Amino acid sequence: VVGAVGNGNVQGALERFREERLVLEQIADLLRGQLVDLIRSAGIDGTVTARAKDERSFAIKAFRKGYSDPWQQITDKVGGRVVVALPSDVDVVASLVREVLIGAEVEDKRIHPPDTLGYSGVHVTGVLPTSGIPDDLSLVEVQVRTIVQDAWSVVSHRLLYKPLVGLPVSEQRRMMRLAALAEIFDEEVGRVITALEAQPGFDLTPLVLMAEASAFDVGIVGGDRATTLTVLAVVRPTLPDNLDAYQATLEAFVSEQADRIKHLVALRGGGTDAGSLWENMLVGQPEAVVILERLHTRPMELLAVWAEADFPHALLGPFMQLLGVPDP
Amino acid sequence: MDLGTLTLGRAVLHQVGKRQSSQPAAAVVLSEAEAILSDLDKIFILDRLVKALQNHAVSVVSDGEAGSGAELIGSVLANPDSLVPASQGLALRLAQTQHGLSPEGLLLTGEVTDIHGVRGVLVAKLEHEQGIQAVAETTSTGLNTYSVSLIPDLLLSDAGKVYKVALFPVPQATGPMEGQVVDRQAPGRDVARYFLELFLVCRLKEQADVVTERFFGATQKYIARLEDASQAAGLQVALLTEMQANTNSVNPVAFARRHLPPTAQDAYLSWLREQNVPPRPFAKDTGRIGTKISLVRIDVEGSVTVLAPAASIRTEENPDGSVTVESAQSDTITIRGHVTNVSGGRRRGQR
Repeated sequence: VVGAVGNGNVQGALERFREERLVLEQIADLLRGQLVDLIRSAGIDGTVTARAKDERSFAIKAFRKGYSDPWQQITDKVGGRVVVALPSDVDVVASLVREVLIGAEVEDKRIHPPDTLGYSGVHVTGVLPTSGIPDDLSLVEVQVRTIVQDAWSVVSHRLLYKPLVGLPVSEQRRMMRLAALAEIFDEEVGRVITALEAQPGFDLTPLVLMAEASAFDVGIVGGDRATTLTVLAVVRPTLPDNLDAYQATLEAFVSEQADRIKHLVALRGGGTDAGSLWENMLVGQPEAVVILERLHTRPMELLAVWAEADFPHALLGPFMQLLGVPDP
Repeated sequence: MDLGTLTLGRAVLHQVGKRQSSQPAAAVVLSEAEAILSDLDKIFILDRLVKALQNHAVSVVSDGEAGSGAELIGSVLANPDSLVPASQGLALRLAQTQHGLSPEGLLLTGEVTDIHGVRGVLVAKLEHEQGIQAVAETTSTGLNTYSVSLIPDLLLSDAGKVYKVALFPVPQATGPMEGQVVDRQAPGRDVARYFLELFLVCRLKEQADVVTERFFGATQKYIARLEDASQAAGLQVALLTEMQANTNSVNPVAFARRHLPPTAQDAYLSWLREQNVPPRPFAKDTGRIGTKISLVRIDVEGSVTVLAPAASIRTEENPDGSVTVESAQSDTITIRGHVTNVSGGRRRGQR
């Protein structure tokens, strides 16, 4: 579809675009930074890109769409994109973006009519809060997609829109099947994630991974995962709610005590003679570093939850001895 | 020394019998060589001794007496080759100095080293314990059963206690040798009865009344910092009760557990450490805080009773005859009425 070619409004909009080009790039940088902070604070894995539209794309869009006021009507002069792994994260990120942008409007492109090809994400358009920049300049569009939606978008753009000739019906059907496949892929991933989150101990996963990473630094490798989960489930209430902050605490503790912990593991860890004594059974386990950190920082709290769980007190013996924690 | 990272090297064991009242010394069976110990044996033994040290030791200073236990330990620190003869000397000295109620046992003298390479000598009296051993057997008719027998000479069982331990590191500076000593049979000042004063010939590095006063003062300051008035009042009463109790030691960890919620116990114990009060038990001597812990009871008509430390009550500055009770908190309670009786002001046991 070709719009109102030669419209004077397009020429004016293009000149304005050229004048404001540098400001738009600054806004793109601001948007990128805000989006990165946004997903990081939400604990979501994803990739963020942002750009100011190039002049050629702006001109083509202005001509093709036949806008009466291209400058105002082209809302993606500055565009951002957040690509996340999980389908449920699309809604979370879109919601966060909507809270940030002023006068935000949301367009959910995941649902299309049955006879239409497509499987896209969610677009949020609004004004990025900036100091001293007019709203018509800081109007941005943020696309939030899963990796699969992003892949579909790239492939479909190349196969459906760029070719000068149309696809035969049989090939269009193939594209339809691909779109359906992409949608099913995301839905199934979502179902698996939901089932996984319902499994006992799932909420401990970040702590287990954190413990394993820190334990590796002092020579503790492997261990029995079921034991780790059992112990950390009891220790968890003594830890801060924000595990990201605790990670720094744990890493600093392990770094500071590395030589002493290595000494303990070398003397009583798995594979040593003393490791065969039952009271040393947790020394070679990854959760040992968390137990040690807790005994160092909050010994009485740890002892209280340990006793409440009816865990054998003797299992804390090697750790209390290393740190010199008085045994009440 | 870094007690948590100690490793036990060579060790010698000697048997020291029970001293009969008619004998000048207990019977001794001396070893002539180092004990045969596997690495696992060493870890097992050292774990029990370190646990006793970490939970019950007091810091001591040698009096430098010739022939004393501390001097013999010093000779091993200076010359590791003297381990066997010096340990024999220690066993003989223990046999001469321990009283008639001390049970027989084995005296262990061993070399220890921490992760920083600091050497030390560990001396411990290991007393015999009893236990039951059950061995699976098959009867003559082919039935499975257990054969049970009493083992009367066990050492260092999980539930057993280590009563007497001394650890002296290589001195880092000139001057009297310093170490740490445990005596769980005679806690508090009685630690000096024979193991410390007669066997080792050492004295406590810091007198019990000084540590007690520091504990009392640090806890008072902690109470003053509490925002929860009921918790502060409860802890204040608990502190006075602890100080007045008929016990000869204070265990700060146990005190915290009894009187504070788990979430506050760590803060309290950290505060004590900052105030240079050890978290492990120490001998109690309230000699320096007598007036602060002696309670005065003031009965006022209308069944009102005020109970306050004697040192906190002032009357001489009040021309209207009122009585002021000072507290660490700034709260004020005014009671008006006729005082019917005033009593107390002395510690229990004082006259």
